[in-house]
Amino acid sequence: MFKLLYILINLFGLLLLAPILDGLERSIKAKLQNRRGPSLLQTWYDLIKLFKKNPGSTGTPRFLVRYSIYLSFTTLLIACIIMPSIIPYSYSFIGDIIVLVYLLISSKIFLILGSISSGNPYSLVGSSREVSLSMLAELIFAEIISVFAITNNSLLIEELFPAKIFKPSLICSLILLFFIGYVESTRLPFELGEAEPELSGGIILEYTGLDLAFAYYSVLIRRIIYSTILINIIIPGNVFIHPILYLGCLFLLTIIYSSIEASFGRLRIDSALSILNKAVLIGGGIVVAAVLGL
Amino acid sequence: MSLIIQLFFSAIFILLISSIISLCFRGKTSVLISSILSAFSCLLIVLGSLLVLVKNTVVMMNIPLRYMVPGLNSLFGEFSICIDSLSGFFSLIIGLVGFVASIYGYKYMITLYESEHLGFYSFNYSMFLLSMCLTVIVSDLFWFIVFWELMTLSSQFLVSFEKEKKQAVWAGYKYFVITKAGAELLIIGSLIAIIHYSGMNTSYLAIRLNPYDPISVLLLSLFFTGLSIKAALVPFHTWLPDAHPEAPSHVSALLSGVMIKVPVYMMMRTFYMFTKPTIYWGLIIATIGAVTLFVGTLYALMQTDSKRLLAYHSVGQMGYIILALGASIYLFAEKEYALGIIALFASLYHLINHSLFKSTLFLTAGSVIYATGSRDLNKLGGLSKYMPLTSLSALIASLSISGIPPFNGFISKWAIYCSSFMSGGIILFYGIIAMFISGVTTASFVKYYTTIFSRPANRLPRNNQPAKIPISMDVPQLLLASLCVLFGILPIIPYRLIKGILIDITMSYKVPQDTNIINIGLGFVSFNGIGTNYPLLIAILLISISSAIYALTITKKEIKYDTWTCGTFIEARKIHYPAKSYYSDFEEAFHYFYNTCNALYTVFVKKIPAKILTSCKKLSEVIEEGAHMCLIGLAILILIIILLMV
Repeated sequence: MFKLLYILINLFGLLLLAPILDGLERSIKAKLQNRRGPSLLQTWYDLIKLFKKNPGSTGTPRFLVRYSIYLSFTTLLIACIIMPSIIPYSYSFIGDIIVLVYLLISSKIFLILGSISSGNPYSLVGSSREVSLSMLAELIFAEIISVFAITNNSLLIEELFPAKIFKPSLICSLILLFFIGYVESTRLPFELGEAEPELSGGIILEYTGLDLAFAYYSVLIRRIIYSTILINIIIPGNVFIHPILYLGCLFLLTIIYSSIEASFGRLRIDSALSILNKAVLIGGGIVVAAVLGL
Repeated sequence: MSLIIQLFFSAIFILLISSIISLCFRGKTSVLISSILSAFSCLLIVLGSLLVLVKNTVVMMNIPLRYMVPGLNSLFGEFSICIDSLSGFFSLIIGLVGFVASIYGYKYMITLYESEHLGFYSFNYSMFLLSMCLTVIVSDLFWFIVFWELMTLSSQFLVSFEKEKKQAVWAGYKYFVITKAGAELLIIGSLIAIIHYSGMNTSYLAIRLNPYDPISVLLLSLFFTGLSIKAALVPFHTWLPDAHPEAPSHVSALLSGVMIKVPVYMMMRTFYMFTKPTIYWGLIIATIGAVTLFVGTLYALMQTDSKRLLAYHSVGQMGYIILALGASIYLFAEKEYALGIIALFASLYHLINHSLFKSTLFLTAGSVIYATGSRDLNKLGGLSKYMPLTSLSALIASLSISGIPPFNGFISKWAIYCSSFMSGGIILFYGIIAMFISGVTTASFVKYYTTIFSRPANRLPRNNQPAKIPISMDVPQLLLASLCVLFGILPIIPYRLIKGILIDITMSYKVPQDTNIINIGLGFVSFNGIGTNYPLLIAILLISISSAIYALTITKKEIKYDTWTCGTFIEARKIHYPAKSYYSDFEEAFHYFYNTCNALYTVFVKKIPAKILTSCKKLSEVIEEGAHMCLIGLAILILIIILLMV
């Protein structure tokens, strides 16, 4: 019974926190760029405004266009349920780290299916770029998971979170996870779904009102999930310290991410792919080191 | 005779009758007869193999032919059948996909093809099913080879069925020549096995090889090469992407879904039952599997022809199966029994999954051909409005092959990752490649589904009105698609089918009983201490929450509007994004890979064989016709001597 309560606290905590963190990011970016910036709750206000509006639809299979965005959102909710976040109890009764990563990836795939089905050629261009990126991102994820598997000798979430021994290879893989979490959470230099002016909106170009709110919300939740995976490995699993440390780390990570984002322009797709290719090679090196026992 | 034998024999008998009768008729009647009889006999095969798998029994039967046909020597003297769980598992797949394809095939064939040649098709179709079924249930190397060759022959006629199309004939020829070469290697291997090891006994049960003996190393390499040619493993895969698309679609479903699995059956027998697992063979097989999945899937990403794309994915998915098989052999040899069992489980699970979703996909591609007459992904589009059921089954199968939870491909791929990530060493890297390729597969099927069904078409062929799909073609796809869902959310069903094989193999290696690693319940799989997966729970949560959101939002009025095209008023279909541009950036990022592979292809498949051919011609010019006859005579003499020795 308590377990269910913890799950609900974690789930709703993340749902509540995600827009606030985005508000924080927006205000930090504004400060760095000498602007005034919105309040912390501005993202919440935006979302609430959008949630009140009517959905719109286009494209041939209307049902698929709209339903896929809810599927994408729900997959992220399931990912939130699997992970320990605010309260450090592990709930791996649904799956392990591979399942978690697959849920994140499939959330993106559902979104892209809906976006291409909307029939807009520009969102198709954005989607195909996004898929190109996430193919390489999945390779990097595989490398990270394999390092976890070697160092912990298990893929279960309760064994992985938190890490018991910090070997050099594990630390390197955490840095890689930091990087790939940044890439996959549609932040600026890698936000290639909307790289050209006419692509603005990118994947979610055809969504309006309520559906757009869900699309935005999923991006925010995806960001917080990536941060949570990273934080969970680092901080200890004590019931009392964990929530405080977790929130502290979350805010710290948001500050780091937003200041990186504020200082970059957008990359071209080929240069983004070549950066990811380099990351893949580095990841391969880390895996070799982990196999050798470093 | 037990019930199982009766079922199998009646199925074989009906298939035989079907192929003979369909030769007597012409046109539509022959297709009708062969479809009904094949579907019925496939149903019998399914029943028989389910009985074998559920009861976990071994059924054996010997028919001494030498008393019936006087003068027949001992090599072909006995026709022995042994249906154990491994044979049962593969014959189940044959029966299942065969049943569905036979129902689908009737309408497809009589509508799309001229009625003159249909009798020939019907004969070969029944023969193909018959030979596949017999290949997996005979327990005798000689009869195995006979039916193997028959399988190649009949499927070759099906591939080059459209005699007027030059490409189809060429593809069939290429397929036949390459796989025949593989069969020759198998023949030599079997001859060595029979003469050297089993004391002239051709039964499987007599073959016991010492894996470090040089002759048996030669034998195993011959077997492995011969089988991997038929299984289309890289570098022997070049026939598959040409041959599979040319066949009628339900035959492609059989070829990709079932026929290329038959060599895997023999590989499992060879490396688990004829010999002990060894580290080097495990590594070789796993390496070839990893290379196959990498090359096959990356080439699939480039394709713009729907069936060719699926054919390349067959190569890629075979890589997954072979990788897991190799990993299990390696892990067994390393005495990591727990992980080895997981890998074997994953291999068999992915095998049955692949035959389900790949057959579905080929059938959907066939329906698209039926409706529009086109295979070109650059031109197709917007078909989900006209063929909703096909669209639904294509979506389910695409998500399954991409490994999206909670469909069946997800569980089997997850099991492959679990075993390979935990094994450490070289297999770990193959696991990483497999996970990357899973992403590429997803991308490729996003392209497949969206270009055909969901995005607007460039221009719809046949005056904007695709033909209506008959029910007899919709139902088979939906049946297979629902099996994809069922095998995904209830992994206990495939586990019950696989369990017998796992028990057989663990018994034969005296694996300690405490390595009871796989723990499967109604809706969950868990590998103790390694990983857990609850697909049923994920499915319930996914469907219920998303439907709840949809139900809540449905009360709000939906605003309908046109697609936004940057403020200009042009039709969205005029700004068409062709299928070949979908991942052009990614292909550019991987151009080193593609260039190397293309160069290797030109050198090894085009230039060197051409040189060999010219030198052979010169040689034949040198040797006069008389010398030819001399050589042939010598060959016949050797054959007779061998037969006399037996």
